[in-house]
Amino acid sequence: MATPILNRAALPSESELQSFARAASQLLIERLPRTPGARTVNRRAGVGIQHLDHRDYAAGDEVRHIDWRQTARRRRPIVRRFESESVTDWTILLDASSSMAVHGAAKWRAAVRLGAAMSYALLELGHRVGLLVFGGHVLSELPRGRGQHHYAAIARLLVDLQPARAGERSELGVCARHLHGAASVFIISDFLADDEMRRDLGALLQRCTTLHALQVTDSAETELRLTGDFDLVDVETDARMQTRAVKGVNALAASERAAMTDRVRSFCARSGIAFTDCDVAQPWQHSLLRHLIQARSVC
Amino acid sequence: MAAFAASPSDPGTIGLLTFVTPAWLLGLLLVPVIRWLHRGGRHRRTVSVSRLSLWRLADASSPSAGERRPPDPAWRRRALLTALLVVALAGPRLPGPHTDITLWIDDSLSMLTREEHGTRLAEGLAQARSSLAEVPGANVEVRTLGDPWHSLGVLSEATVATIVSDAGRKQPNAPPTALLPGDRLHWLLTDGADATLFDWPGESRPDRTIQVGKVARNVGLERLSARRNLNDPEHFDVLLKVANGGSAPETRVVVFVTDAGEFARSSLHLEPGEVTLVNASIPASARVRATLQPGDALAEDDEIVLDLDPLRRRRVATDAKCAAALKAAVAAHPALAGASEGATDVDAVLDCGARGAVRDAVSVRVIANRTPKRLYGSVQWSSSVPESRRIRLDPERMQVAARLEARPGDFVLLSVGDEPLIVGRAGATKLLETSLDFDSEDTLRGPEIPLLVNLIFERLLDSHLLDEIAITDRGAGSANVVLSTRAGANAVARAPSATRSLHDWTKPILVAALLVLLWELVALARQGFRSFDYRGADSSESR
Repeated sequence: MATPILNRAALPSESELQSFARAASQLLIERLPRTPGARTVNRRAGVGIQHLDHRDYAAGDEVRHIDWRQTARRRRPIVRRFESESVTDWTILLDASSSMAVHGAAKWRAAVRLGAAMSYALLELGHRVGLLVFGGHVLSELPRGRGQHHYAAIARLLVDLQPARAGERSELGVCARHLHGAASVFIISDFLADDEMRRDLGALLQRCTTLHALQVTDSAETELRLTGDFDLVDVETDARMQTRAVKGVNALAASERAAMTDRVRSFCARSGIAFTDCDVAQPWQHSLLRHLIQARSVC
Repeated sequence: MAAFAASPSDPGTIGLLTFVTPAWLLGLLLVPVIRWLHRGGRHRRTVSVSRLSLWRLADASSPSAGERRPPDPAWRRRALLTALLVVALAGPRLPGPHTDITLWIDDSLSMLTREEHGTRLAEGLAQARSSLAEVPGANVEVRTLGDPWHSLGVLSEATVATIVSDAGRKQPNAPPTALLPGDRLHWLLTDGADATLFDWPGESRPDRTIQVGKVARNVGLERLSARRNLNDPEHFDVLLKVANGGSAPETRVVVFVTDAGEFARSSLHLEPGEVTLVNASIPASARVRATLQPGDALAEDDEIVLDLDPLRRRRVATDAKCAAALKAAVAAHPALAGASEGATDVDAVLDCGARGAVRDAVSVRVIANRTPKRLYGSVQWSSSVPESRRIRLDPERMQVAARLEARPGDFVLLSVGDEPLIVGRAGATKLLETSLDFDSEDTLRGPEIPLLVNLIFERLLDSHLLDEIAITDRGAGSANVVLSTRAGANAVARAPSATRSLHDWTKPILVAALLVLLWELVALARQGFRSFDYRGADSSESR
């Protein structure tokens, strides 16, 4: 990675994170209808440490789970049952390709804020959160963890990261083999790739339970302020193209960008992927809450 | 850069446009080179974008092989700058809306020759007026060749009268270079009798020559001079120069007339172009006039008058107390005449102490107020006395009868050692004082006293008393009235020249080039600013 250019000031403040976490908690927990005052997680037997109830012993039960006090009182083998854990594992995939660094790296700074806020909110709810930073390959990986100390680790990693100015491609598919076990995946990217990463999104969808896609866009990336003839250079592939800046060329680029967004949105709708387009000019809180609201009807 | 009038056959002329140094126009070949240098390639500006496919609709590259890539539009601006500089270096000249014309008028004596309808000068000015009337927007300035630095303004009646009244008084010459700017037309009005008037400096030539004059016969008096007769100071030797300036043999009678009446008469026969000298000895007179008989078309050179006043003897009032040797030297001097002590109409006063202090007349004062004594030391002359005019003096034979002191402002004409002998006193009236003892026997033995008296009075009267010459000279060739061969050739060669004034467009084109250069600098600055905005905004914003 290149020299860090971001600092903690680029991350949301503690108060902003707490405020967002409170708002997001209502959208991230169980979505089933419930009566007022009900718990927000299912209480069911399973692997856990919280005691739930007792039942008669059955062949195959762990001997260490036999409650000897109840067995003596009821004069038959009784075993303890434990409350199953309702929290899930989340993995946040953050795009650090060179396309995120153009035009003042506005997209990268927005993605960092979105990733940090989402991590904080999930950790507040007791979920385990991991972080994968990808470009042409996995640039950095932080294993899943929980608790505020884990957010501190995520924040440190985000602060130290900076996308390369040129030459770093967008290969979302490289993250697939780093996803262990069932997990929810939250992708933050500009989705500027050959097929808008649709093929990689389909592959990831096979390896996770739910998939969220947050597209970061910047209106400046479809604006050319030079006049005359010049060459456009793709920061990821170094491909060149001769261009003549004529009237309406920016509108053509904006329409092309809108078409790309439409294509990936349609794909996500068909595949059950929660997709939201987020402009860097919008407040990150609005973008995330809008995405979580939309995700409740998709996932 | 020499400016010249353009004609279609002149080199460096493109239609109405004229170039002083047309070779610079080869620099226009740089224009296609500049366009070639601005063709597409790696030197083009580059802009980094997040995804190239966003701009696929703005692709300006050739869809098919062989199509040429368009050059950078900036080539037009840079080619324009180059072209303007090249054209400016070539020195473009364009005919202006107003034609500035300087009319040079030959005001020599021959221009007063009577022709059929008046003098040559009057006829020529009439021709010039009609020719100038044919030039639209002509802005005319009149100058004479006799006094070129004095502009007479426009060609008005008053100007014509001034020119006619002053004609023949000054020797005309070709115009000076400083008065021949290239952005004006120069017309010459002359009769062509003086070929030197066509010898203009450098490559300059008259743009149009108006030649007048058909009369071809004239005999004129070019010069009359006189000096004292060496044997008889009461007579003057007169020398008259007569020239036949026409094209036919002539016979004339020369008559010398003084204040006392006709004194001499001489008959002459002159071939065309012949010049002869006539000698005469006349009694001393205030003036002498020589006349040719019969007269001809140029009456102004048929008579010449010489003022002989510079040759008259200066009257010197001599003090009776002066030494005899001193009075004898004054009396023997051919240019001095002694006068009585009380005379008032004198040119100088020789004061030896009897008159007292004389303040209102040019004076020589001989001071003797002590016992004469001999001098020791070397003779020293003032540096203002030329070496050839210094008198050899022997200090051994000289004595002084007073001691002179040189005061501030005085000048010492002669001294021996540190003893001033002749001192010029500062003041409104010239006064020379000397302490030489003219009564000394040793001094009387030598020839120094007459020479010293001559030197003192020459210095006192500011003139060379022994070799004065009075002269009236109209200049060689002043009697010529026929067109010289060289002048005729020049007039014929230049007569068909253009009648338009060329204006130098170098400065306006340089100003335009400067504006284009500023445009280029502004464009480069804007481009640099935008490039910086593209490349460096990320770091500056995040920090």
